[in-house]
Amino acid sequence: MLATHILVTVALESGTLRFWDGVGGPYVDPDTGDVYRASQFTEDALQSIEAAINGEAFTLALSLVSVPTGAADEIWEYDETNPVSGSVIQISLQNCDQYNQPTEDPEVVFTGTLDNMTVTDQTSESEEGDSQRSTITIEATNVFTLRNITNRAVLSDVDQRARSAILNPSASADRFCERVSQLLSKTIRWPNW
Amino acid sequence: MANILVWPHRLLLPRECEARLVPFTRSGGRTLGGTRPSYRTDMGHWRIDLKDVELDTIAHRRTWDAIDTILGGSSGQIAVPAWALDTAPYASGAEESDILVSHSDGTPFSDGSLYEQSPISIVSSGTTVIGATEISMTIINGFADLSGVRFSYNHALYKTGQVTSISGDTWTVRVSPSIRAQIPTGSDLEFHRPTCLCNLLEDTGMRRAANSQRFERRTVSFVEDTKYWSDMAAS
Repeated sequence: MLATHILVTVALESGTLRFWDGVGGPYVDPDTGDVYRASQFTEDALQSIEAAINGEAFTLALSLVSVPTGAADEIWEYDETNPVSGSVIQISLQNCDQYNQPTEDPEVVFTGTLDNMTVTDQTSESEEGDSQRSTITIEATNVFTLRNITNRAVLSDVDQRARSAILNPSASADRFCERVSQLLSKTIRWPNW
Repeated sequence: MANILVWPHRLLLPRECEARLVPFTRSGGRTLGGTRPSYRTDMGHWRIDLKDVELDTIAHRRTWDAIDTILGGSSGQIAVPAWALDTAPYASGAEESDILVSHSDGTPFSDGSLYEQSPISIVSSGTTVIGATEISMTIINGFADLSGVRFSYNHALYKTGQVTSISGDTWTVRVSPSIRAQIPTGSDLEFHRPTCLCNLLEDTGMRRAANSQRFERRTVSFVEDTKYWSDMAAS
């Protein structure tokens, strides 16, 4: 029986957050010595990871559950005081043998930049008393975000140049939309010979 | 590791101690053919139920309430006993009690207590790193079979599986769950009274009532504090 670990690395300014999809103890990368905390993703998170791996997604929202309120507060405070936007987030898959020992180097399946980090607190009632659940959601984007465009929107020359500058920085600016402003109010007449 | 609260295993005695390893598997559900294939993601974490703890005397009830106060809900840590007396590798093959020794002139300490030593002495052989699932152990005083036994090191609980190699007194066995904290070579492993660092499963897990008979039995459930081991590994 083979096992696969999902490893997530977030390179924040002050340090790197590492976690993996597990319920037990920490996972240590045998080559680098990096320690990954066990934390659980929600079901939606697994789905969006899958979509990201298949190259279909341009954004990725990862939700972690089973985070105690205290830890969530710390992250919230960190988020308030430090800029998180723009940090690199990377998701890799680590194949393991039947004894949960890694068999090869982890394979990077998604790389993006952090767009936002939100902390949600929910309260639920039960017979044992009210309980609080904290969820941390990480929103990441990658270059495919640029493919996303609102339906019926008009491409402007400025936008298109900015896009091309990011997508292909070494090339000269994309002049594809240069004449859009002229075409916008253009009336095409049927020729009258 | 200094300030970890340990469950008073002699005073608050459960009728039954159920320590179980909960693996993390994924399954797509049952197929039309009736089978249910599942895959393991993680070797899991421990859950320990202390069933029907006897609360008979004032000392029982006061200790119980004091522990509840110290824990303060499910974030508090406590090292809970995971009974292994029925499978522990005692040298004689049968259950043994603690070895008690007096001073060389036969006198005890001023309060009447004696030196205490575990009847089993087994040390780790070679350093075992975090995440490992195999460990080598050298038997100094114990039964020569280390398959299917429980032990703890620094309140991290493990159980052993199949034996992969035997060389003299050194046994190499599969261990589950994965190693929580590094075990240096030559460390004493606790086979006689293994413990597991736990949190309460629910905030009000140690609630207690007062009744007219002044006698009750309480069941309390614990779940392994895996966050602590992650913090320790990261620091």
